[in-house]
Amino acid sequence: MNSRVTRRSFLQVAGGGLALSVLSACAVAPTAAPGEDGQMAEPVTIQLMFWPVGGERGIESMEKALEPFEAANPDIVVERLATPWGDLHDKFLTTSAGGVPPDVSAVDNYYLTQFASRGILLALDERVDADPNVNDEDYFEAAWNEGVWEGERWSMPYIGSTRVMYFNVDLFEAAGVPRPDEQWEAGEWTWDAFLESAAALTDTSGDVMDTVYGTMADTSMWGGLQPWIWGAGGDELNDDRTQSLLNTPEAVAGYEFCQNLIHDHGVAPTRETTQDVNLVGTGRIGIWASWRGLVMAYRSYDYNWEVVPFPMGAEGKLTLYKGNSMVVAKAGENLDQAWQLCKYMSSQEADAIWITNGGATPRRDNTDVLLNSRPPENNAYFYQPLAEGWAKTIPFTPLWVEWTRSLNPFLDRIFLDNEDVQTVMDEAVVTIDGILQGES
Amino acid sequence: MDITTRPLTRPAAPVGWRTNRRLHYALKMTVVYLCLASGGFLVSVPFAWMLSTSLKTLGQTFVFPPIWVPVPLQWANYVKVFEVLPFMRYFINTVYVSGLSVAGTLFASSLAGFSFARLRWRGSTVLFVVVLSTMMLPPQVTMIPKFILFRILEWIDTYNPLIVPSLFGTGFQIFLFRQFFSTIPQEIDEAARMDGCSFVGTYARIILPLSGPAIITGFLFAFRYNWNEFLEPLIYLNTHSKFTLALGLRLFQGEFTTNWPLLMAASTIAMLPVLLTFYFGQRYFIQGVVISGVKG
Amino acid sequence: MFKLRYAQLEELYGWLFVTPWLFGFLAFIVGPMLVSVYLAFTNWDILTPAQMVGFDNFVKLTTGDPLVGQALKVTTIYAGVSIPLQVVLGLILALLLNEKIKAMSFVRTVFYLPSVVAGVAVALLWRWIFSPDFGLLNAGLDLVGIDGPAWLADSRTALSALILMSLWGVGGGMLIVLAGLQGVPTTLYEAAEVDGANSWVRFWNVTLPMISPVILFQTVMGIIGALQVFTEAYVMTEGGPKYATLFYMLYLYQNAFEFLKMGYASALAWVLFAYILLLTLLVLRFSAAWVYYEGVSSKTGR
Repeated sequence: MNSRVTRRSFLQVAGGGLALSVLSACAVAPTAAPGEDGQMAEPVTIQLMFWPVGGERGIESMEKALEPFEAANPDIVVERLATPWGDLHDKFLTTSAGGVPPDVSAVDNYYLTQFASRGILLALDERVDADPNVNDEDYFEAAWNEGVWEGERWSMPYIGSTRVMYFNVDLFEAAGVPRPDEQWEAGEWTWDAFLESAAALTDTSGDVMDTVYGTMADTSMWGGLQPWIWGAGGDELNDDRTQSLLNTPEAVAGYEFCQNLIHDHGVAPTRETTQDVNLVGTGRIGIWASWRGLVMAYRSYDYNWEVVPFPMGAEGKLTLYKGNSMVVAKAGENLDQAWQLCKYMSSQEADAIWITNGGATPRRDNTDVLLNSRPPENNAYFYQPLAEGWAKTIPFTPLWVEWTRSLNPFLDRIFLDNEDVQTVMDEAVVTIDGILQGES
Repeated sequence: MDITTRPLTRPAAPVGWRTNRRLHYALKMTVVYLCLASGGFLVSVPFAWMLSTSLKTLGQTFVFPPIWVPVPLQWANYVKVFEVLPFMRYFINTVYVSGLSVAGTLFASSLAGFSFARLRWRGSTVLFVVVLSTMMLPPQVTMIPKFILFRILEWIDTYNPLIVPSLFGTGFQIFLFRQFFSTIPQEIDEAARMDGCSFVGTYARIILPLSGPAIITGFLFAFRYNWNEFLEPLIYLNTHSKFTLALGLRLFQGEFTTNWPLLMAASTIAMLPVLLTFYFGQRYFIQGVVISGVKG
Repeated sequence: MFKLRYAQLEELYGWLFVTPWLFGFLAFIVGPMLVSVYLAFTNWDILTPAQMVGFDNFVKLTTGDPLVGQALKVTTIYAGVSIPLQVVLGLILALLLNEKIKAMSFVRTVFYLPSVVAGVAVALLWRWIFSPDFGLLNAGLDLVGIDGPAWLADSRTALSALILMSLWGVGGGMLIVLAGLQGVPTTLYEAAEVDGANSWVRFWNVTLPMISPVILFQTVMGIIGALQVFTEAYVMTEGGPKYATLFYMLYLYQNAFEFLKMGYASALAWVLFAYILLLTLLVLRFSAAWVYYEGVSSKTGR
C-alpha cells in the first residue's frame, strides 16, 4: 500500500492538520470507496490542482464553483491546490514523478500531449460514453477534439478562447475609418482591409510619446502566429507531424505579412516595444489580436473598445481556438470521484463562472452567458468561429514545446532583424525536423 | 586574559597640520556624499517606480509618458491586498517558517564555521569543499528526488521540508561564519587555552561575543533568503492557508494579465520586515568597538 | 604529552562541531545528489521509468549539442564580468558607507533595498526599464544626449543589460564587506596613522588584508551564484534574442521541465557542478597568496 492512502486518511481524520505526528497516523485504515449498496461511505478526499483564473480573484471564483459541487457530493471532499499560473506545470511534474499527482488537475493544452503520451492520465472515453450527463453535442467540436490524442480522450475542455481582434473604437472614430465590425458584417474584412485600416490609424510623425500604431504584430508561436500562417494557406507540420512545413511559400507569406506590418508598412511597433510597454492600455494601438482572457484588464481602460473576428486571408474565414484541460491522474485511488469532479469543472454550471472571469466557452449551451458578459458587445464573435466550424486548433504533439522553442532565434531574425523569411525558414525547418524526427 | 573595548578616537594631530587635515577631511566627505547621493538616486529609481506603481490604477501602469505620481493616489490598493488574498495568514506563516529556519541555521552553521576556521583536524579541508559543493548542483535536478524523500517521510503539505533541513546548517552560512571567524586574531584562542577554556567555551564565550557583525550578517542573509524562498513552498505546500508570502505573491500573476498595482503593493508590504531587520541590524555595525588588546 | 592530547581533543571537537551539518547532509542532501548522478546516465522523462543509456548524455552534450557551448559561453561571460564588478562595487560602497555620515542607517538601507526586492515581479519591472523606446533607462540616457541601444531586444546588448541589472543587487555584497570592516582592529589604523601612512596605504596594507577572507567569500559565492543564474533569463528574455542570453540554467531547466529530458538535464547539471567546483578550487588555491587568515585555516595549508 503506498503512502498516499495513509496521508489522505490522516488529513481527513485530522482535518488537514500538520506536524510530525503524521507518522503515527499510518495506523489509520485506508478509505473505502462508496458502497455499491447505497450506504453513505466515509467521504473521499480528492485533490484538485488549478491556477486561479485571472490571477488573485480566481481563488474566490473557484470556491464559488465548488460550493454546489460539494453540496451535491457529500461523499467527496475537495482538497484545493491553488497553484500560481506559471508554476503549475513544474508542480504537476514533480508530484507526478513523486507518485502523488493531484487526482484532478487543470493542464494547459500546450503540455497536454506530453502527459497523455506518457500514460499518466486516465483515458476518459468509457466514462464519457457511460455518463448520461456528459454529451459531446454540448461542446463545440474544435474544443471537444482538443482533448484527444492518438484516438483517445484524455481531458475535458476547460476554459479557452478563439483568437479575435480587439479594436480601439475611439481611434477608429477619430480617424474616420469604418469600424472593423461593420467591415466584417459587410463581408469586406480582409487582410488588405485590416492593413488599410491600420495604416489609416497609424501616426508616427510626431514625438515618440504621441505615437499611435495601427496594430501590433503577432511574433510568437505561443502567442498567435498560427492564424496568419493558416490564413495564408500554410501549415506548421505535415499530417503525421514528422516534418515542418514552415518554409512552404504559403507559410512564408503568413510570416511575411506580420513582418511587413513592422518593417515595411510601419503600422506596428517593433516587437521589443510591444512586450514592455502597455501600449494597449493607453490607447496607442488601433487594432490587435488577442484572447478573451484580456477583457478583465481592458474593462479598466478608459476608452471604448470592441472585438471583431480575425480578418479573412487567402483561406477566407479562419481563426485559432486554444483551450485548456481538466485531467484525471491514472495513479489516483478514487478514480470515480475524481471523474465526477473533472466532469463538473467542465460543466455548464462551472463554465459560466470561468466565462465571467474572462474565459470564452467551449460549450454550445453556455453562449448566452458569454453574450451577456459585457463589454464587449460583440461577444458572439468569440463562439461563431467554433459554431460555424472555421476555428482551427494547434496540432500539438509531445514535441511541440521543444520545436517551438527552437524556432525562437529564427523568429528573432525575422521580426527583429528583418531578414528574408524564406532564407530563415529554410534553415529553421532543418532544426525543427531534427527535433521532430528524434535526432536531438 | 583581558579583552577591553573602547571607542575609536582619532589620534591628536600636530597643531600645524590641523587646517590642512580639516580641509582634506571636508574634501573627502564631499566626495563621499556626492558618490552616495548619485548612487543612492540610481538604486532608488526602480524602487520608486515600484512604489509609484503600487499607488496606481491598473490602467495607469506601464503607460507612456510614465506617470510617477498618480492622481489620485490609490492607497486603497494596500487595503485591497489584504482583502483579495489572506495576506495576513501568509505573513504569519512566513514568520513561523523563517523564524525557525533562521534560528536553526545560524546555530548549526556557526558551530561548523567555528570548526572549519579555528580547529585543526584531519579531513577538514576536504569536508569544507564538500560543504561548498552542496551549493554547486542546480536544485532543479535534485528537486524531484527530494520531493520523493519528503513524500516517504510524509512531510508533504507540512512546513517540515522548509524548516528541518535548514536546522542543520547551510553551505552558505557555514562558509560565511568560517570566513568571519578567520579574521579574529589567533592569539585569542591560545590565550583562552592557557586559561583552561574548553573548545565549547572558546566558541560560546570568546568567538561568538566577538562576532556580532558576523552573526547579524548571517541572520540578515538567512532571513532574507528564507523570507523570499519560493520554489520549496511551491513544491511542498498544497493548502492555500499554509502558503508563505513569496508563494502568495505569485497568485497576483494571472495567465493573461497581472494586477501590477496590487502585486507591487503586496511586494512592498512583504519586503518591509526584511528592510526593518536590516535597518536595525546594521546599527550594530559600529567600527571602533573592537578588541584593542589581549593580555593573557 | 599535553600537546598530543590537546591535538586529539581538537580533532574530536573539530568533528563534533560539524556533526549537526554532517547529519543534515547525510539525511537530506546526499541522497538526492546520488539519485541525480544516476539519472545523468539515463534518459528519464520524469513521467515514465528511467532507462540506462550509459554515457550517451555526456557524449551528446560534448559533441552533439551546440547550445551547450553557447550556454556555457553566455554564462561564463556573465560571471566573468559581473563578479569582479560586484566585488569591487560592493567594496567601494561598503567603504563609503563605513564613513561617519549623516542618517547613516537610512542611507545604508537605501543601498540594501534592491537586494531585498527579489523575484519575478522585479525582473518584469526591469524589462520595462530597458524598453528601447519608452523605457526609463533610455529616457535617462536621452537627457544627457545619448541614443540608447535596444538593450534586451538586441542580441549584442542583451547580456550587458542583464549584467547591468545584476549590479542593482550589490547591496548584499556591501553588507558582507561592511560587516567585515567592523572586525578590523582600530589599533591597526592608529598604528598606521602614527607611522604616517596615508589613507591609500592604510587601505592597501591594513583594511584589504584584514577583510580579504570576506572578499574571498564574496568571490566564491559570486562564482556559485552567477553560474547558476536563472530567473532573469527565464522571466525577461527566455534566452533570446538569438540565444544571446541562453544561460546554462535556463537551458537546463528547459530540458528538464519543458522538454521532459530530465536525464539529459541531470548530465548538464553535473557538468556545471564540475565547472563550478573547478573554478572554486582554483580560487581557493590561489587565495593563499592574497587572503590573510588569523585562524588556523592558513596554517593547515591548501
